[in-house]
Amino acid sequence: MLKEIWSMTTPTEFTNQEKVIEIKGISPKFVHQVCVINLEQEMPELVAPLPAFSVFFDVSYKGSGTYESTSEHYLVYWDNQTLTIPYNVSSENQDADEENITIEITQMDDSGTATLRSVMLCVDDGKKTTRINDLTRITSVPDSSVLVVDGDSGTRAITYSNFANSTLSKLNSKTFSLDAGKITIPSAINALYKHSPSNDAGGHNGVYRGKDLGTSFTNAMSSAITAGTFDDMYIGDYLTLNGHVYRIAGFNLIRRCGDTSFTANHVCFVPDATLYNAQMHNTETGAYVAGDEANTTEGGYVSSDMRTANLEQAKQTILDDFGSSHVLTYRDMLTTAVADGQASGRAWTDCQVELMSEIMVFGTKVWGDSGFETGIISSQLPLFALNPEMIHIRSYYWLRSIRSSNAFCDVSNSGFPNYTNASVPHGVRPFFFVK
Amino acid sequence: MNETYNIVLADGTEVLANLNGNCYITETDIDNEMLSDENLSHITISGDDYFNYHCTNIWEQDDLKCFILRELTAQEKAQIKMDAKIEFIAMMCDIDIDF
Repeated sequence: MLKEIWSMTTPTEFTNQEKVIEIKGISPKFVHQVCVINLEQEMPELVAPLPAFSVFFDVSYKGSGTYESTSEHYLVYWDNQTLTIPYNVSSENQDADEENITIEITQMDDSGTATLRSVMLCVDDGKKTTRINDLTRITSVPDSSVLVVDGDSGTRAITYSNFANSTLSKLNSKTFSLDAGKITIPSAINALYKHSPSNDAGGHNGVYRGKDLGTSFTNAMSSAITAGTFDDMYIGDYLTLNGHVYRIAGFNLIRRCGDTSFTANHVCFVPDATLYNAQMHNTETGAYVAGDEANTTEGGYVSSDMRTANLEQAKQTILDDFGSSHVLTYRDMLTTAVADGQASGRAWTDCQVELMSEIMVFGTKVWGDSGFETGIISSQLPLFALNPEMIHIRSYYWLRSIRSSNAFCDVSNSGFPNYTNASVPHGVRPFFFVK
Repeated sequence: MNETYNIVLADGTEVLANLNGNCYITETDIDNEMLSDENLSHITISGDDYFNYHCTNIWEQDDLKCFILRELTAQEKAQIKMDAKIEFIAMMCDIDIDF
């Protein structure tokens, strides 16, 4: 980078053909120096090939020693009237006390008035004029851009496109420590790709992720469900809607089920916590009352007060949180009768927000030991299969399975499959399907 | 999708009922006496014969009668046979027994 150490910037006109500039007392301690002379004269019509000015540049040194002087002659042409004179201070002259410069400028054509606009003495500190950090930023590199490469063959240029291809070719053969150095990076990526889950219900049912999906059920989510691709949704992912945490429990669990085939793609959600407490069979006080009359499973889950009345609050909460158009209705085979303490009848029933069965939570019948218990969801929800911790919420919650003529099944606060008389208030932790 | 069945009981009574799951739903005013084990010992359902049936539940829903039928298990049938034999022996021996 050039640094100015002396300058004359006031323009001086001259018409007497010659101008002499003397610069004295410059310290010659820099090795690389530059003198920039800026001249101006209007160009005559017929003398264009000739020089405009002749410049003698003379440098001499003073001090206690013996020093060498340098004298050079330059021609300045009409089309470029700026003369840049680099000169080096030789090692013999570096100890001199001062450097004196004489510049003699002669007009080659004396028909006009010449102007000496400026003279500058500079030192070149060797630094680049612009730092990389000072360069203008770009956000993408065109393939045709050129990078500089310096090597045994000298300094060469390469297009960004070729540089990128060359770099990728290098990476293609690198193994690093993958599989003890036996597998290249592309091979490892291919292996991962081959084993990655498919972008459908089957693939997504097999991956527990647990990602926070935000505080709203978006149109993008709905579209991905409708398309059956379930983009960015996996088992355990959760939404927090109006303070309720709803977690994805499965994909397309009831597709192709029902007395009429259920065809819509869907996601099953289960709240992390119970929404409130309620009885399977209501009493006047809302509290547990002993005896067969207050504790009955007659009519099965379909006829229970839980299903005919107490689930309504959960249904309204879920419809408000997700939007009524997103919560699906469907048909399931639910228990309608009990004989000898076991479910004895079942019927197709319109459903929307329901209690889970023992099979859906634990993956097996435990206390509700009747084939009539199993509706169209005849396996454990993927959420509970992949992460059993999600079953256990340190709070009792009802299941729809029937244990006896007096008791329905539930999940205990300690985590074991349990059953409780129907008039006991327990937590309501329902499931539902969303599109 | 519910299907409609014509059930003919042992005493000749006909019941027209829709089947939802294993629940028959009918407008006929049925009761436990009509659907006793005796009256279900031989029934026809839409022309097919069935023997030794049992009604597990009868209830009313939406002004319709609902009931569930099932076939007696092999053990229950064996028990009925054994009870009949014991009753016959007791009769021949002129002994009163309570089951």
